[in-house]
Amino acid sequence: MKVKIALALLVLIALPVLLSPWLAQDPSAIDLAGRLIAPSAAHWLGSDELGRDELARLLAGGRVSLAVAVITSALAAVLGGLIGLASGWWGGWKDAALMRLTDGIIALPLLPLLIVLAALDPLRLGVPVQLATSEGFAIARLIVIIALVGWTTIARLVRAQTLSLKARDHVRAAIALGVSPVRLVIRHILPYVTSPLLVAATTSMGGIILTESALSFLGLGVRPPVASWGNMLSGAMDLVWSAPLLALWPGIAIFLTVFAISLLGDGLNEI
Amino acid sequence: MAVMSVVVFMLMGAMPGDPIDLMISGNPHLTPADVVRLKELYGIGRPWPIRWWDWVGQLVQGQLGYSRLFAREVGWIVLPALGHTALLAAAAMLMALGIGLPLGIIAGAKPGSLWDRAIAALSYLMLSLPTFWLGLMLIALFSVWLDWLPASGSTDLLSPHEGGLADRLRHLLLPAATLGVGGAGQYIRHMRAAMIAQSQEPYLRTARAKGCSPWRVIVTHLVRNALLPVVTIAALEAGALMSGALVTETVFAWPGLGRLSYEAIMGNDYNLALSALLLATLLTVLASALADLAYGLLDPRIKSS
Repeated sequence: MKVKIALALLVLIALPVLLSPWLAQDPSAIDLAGRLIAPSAAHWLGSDELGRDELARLLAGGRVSLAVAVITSALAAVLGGLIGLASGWWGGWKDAALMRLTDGIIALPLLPLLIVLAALDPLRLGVPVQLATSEGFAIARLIVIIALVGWTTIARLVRAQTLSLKARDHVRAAIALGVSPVRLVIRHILPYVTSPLLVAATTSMGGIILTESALSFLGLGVRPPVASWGNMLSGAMDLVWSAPLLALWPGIAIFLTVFAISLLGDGLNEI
Repeated sequence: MAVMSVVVFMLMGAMPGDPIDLMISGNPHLTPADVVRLKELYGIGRPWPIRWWDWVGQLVQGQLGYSRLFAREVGWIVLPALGHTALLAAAAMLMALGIGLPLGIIAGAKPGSLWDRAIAALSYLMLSLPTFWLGLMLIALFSVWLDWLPASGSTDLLSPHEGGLADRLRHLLLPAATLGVGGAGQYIRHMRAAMIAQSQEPYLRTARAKGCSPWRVIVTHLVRNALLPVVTIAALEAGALMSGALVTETVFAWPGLGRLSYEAIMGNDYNLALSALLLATLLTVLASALADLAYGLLDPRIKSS
């Protein structure tokens, strides 16, 4: 039941977002004569401070926010999966070292750390100027830094699974037969880890959307003119006294998406 | 902690612009010779381990350095900010516990009931709300529309000022509610889970067999034991609140540690950002140590190892 409601909600959000280039108006069309107009037939959710259609921006922002969430969670899942597999399979001091690293990252104050990472000057790290100033770079950086701190839960989960699988008969039989470690991990452990890994990766998307929107809201994530749900809110914050409704829509979008994802994760865990 | 200080220090080294570059852009009269002398003075250009060691040496002596942004000793800026954040965090914590625990107890007392399902749904809603958006909505509702509470403008709460206690509480209410909602959602879920886990224990059957009324069983036996794991969560939350207040503080212009570190990072105020971040890390680590300790003290079955 939970899973069905969650999936229905997600489809309801994702479908218009994915189809927006064919359905909605141009999200970056500026109309200075029609700024901050109330919801009407022409602009269903009204227009923003530059006269752009709020609904179109909301859908375009959704494309960015959802894409960032999906890619980041995939990256974090791969990273966490590899670390968890390695840690659980090797055991001993390598395991201990990897798990201390994991604990260390969990113990850090997440948001201040992310802000520092997001504020780093890419030029100083040897990134060429052209790349560093391109539009995609800010988004790519956001994905990488969130994934870099977001893999820990998945690593722990995969490690625990790997440890318990190592003691199973089919794995011990394969070890006794002299199967190579790489083949063993890929053929005999990975398939059993995949489904909890997928559930964890899906659930992690909720947190990622919240983090992404918070960073974009602070001006450190996705930067205007590219819309994301987070940076639309930071624009709306300056206008909260004159147009409080503008702040409503992106927040509801974030809220519903995160709600649906956590409901989905919970439902999947119960099965 | 030591490792963390190195990491933070190196990250800061990669921040945009160093102090001298800014001085150069601020003062066109500086000659290249001055620049070299200044760089020498600030120790820029020396390898980072030496600079790190110098910095730690000063830190131990209580010298946090000088803030460029505020033109004062960093210690004088960080300490009042820490006080403000602590006040906000405490208020948020109180709100979260006040809402979360009773609801969690009600939900956990009769799992599967209508109340339980309603409260579970509520906890999902609370956990899915983006903090900064909730803050904005509260401002829109209570400050813009109803005009009941101030949206920002909290000044130095520790020094005497015109408003008095009532005014301070008015300034505290919205940010504390914003920060507390997520925590409340967490407490509901943990309290409920702990209640259900505990309800399988044999001591409850004993209590019921002795003829205790159902409510007495729940209040005196179940709740007391179910509170144990929640205490640990609360201690961890306290640490998270101190650094997680950053967004809330920015939205409400609350003069705390989070907003300070945000401003310091954005204005690349090297010494200030470094100290604020280190302090946030220290608090988080301290909170998790406290959580372990509290757990050991409250539950004699667990020996702190």
